[in-house]
Amino acid sequence: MRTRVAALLDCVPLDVGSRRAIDETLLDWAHEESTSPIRFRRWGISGSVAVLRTLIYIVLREVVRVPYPWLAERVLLFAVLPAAALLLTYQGLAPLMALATPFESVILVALLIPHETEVFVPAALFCAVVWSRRTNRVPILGLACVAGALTFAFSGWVEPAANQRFGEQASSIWMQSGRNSPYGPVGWEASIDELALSARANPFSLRILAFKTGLAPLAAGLVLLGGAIRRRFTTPKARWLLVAAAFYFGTMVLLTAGDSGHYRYAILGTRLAPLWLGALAIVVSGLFIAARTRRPFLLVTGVSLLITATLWLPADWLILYRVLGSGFAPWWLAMVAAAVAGVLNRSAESEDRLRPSAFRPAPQMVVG
Amino acid sequence: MQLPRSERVILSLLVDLGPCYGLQLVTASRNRVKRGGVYVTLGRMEDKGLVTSAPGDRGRRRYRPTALGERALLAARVFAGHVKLGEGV
Repeated sequence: MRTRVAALLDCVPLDVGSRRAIDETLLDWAHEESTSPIRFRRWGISGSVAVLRTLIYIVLREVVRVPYPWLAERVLLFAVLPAAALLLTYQGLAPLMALATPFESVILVALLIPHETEVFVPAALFCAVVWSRRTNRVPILGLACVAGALTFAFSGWVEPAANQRFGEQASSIWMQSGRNSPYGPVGWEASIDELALSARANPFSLRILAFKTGLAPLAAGLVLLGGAIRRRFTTPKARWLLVAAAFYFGTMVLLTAGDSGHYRYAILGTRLAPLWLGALAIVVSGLFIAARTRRPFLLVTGVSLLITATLWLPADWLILYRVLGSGFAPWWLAMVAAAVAGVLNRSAESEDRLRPSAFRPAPQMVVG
Repeated sequence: MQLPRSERVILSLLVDLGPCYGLQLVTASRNRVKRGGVYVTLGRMEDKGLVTSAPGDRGRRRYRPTALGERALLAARVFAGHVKLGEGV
């Protein structure tokens, strides 16, 4: 059991101090195994509890050490600003904006930003972690926990409240103009706890609940994946991969837009955004595998096949989402991202252990 | 230098018992030092220069206080009123 736990912990991104604490706890466990009765040794309860407790301490320490101003700046840059830009160019809002005063327009856009940002946040955190030069100094495990918690709170309570307020505001603007709202009556936007209460009776609520709760592990998984990419690859290589993946999806969206723009909406729309992220993760991991095997032929063939398949079957993205999804798509994608991150971390960890400087030297004391 | 409680307990034990493994500190502290946090605390103390470690049995590390650690403990005890100046640790 100890070796299994140790192998599992190799997949977790830990800084040097945390890794040392875990390694020493595992050595204590080995010591206990060699000095304890057989029955105790077999189950290893005390050892696994000690590892779990150390891990909780480490996570708490890392959560405190997360650079929050950096995180806020990255979320603003990679999620809020793109969401605002998309909203300002969104044609569906044009009739409402034409009726609203400039102040009301600003309020309306501000109220819609959480809705747009909700699905941007996991991707934004992924991009921020891969792109930033500072990532190697950021505690990734702590950042993943913070990302998950913030996304949960954001999609669970902030977004429904803002959406509800937007509906009421838009409705009052339409009423003041004396016209009927093209959006229909304002529905009640349930927060995550209200969805949980109604999920038993209503399968549709369950689907939304699964989707909304899934965004948190998706954000955490993508942060772990981004951290693993940065740990495994040098900065230019990691950035090149991010640009390549973004270019690929940009091309895909442009080429599948069609005359009506239906597919553009389908792929970039909020419902399909997690699938978009998952496909991004799959393409990036495919590129890694091909790059690691160092076979250009495999790499080129794989990427060409992916592009061809995606371009020829744009409508299948919808079917795939429905099959995979039913709201659970973010959970699946989070698992894929975390698994790929674990594999990359483990390979980086085994390389680190081979280096003579892997064990942190004790600082030299100068007294006097 | 202000010493948190867990660091003060660890330093006291190291001064009283001599070089120890982390697990020994947990046992000797009678649950005042938690098993989950002992190595995180020891790592932090090593960064501060309060303790130092050397490889021991089967890759485990034995910790001992540094001169700075002993002085910090003395200062903490004097501050708490447990020891008068000049009595030593």
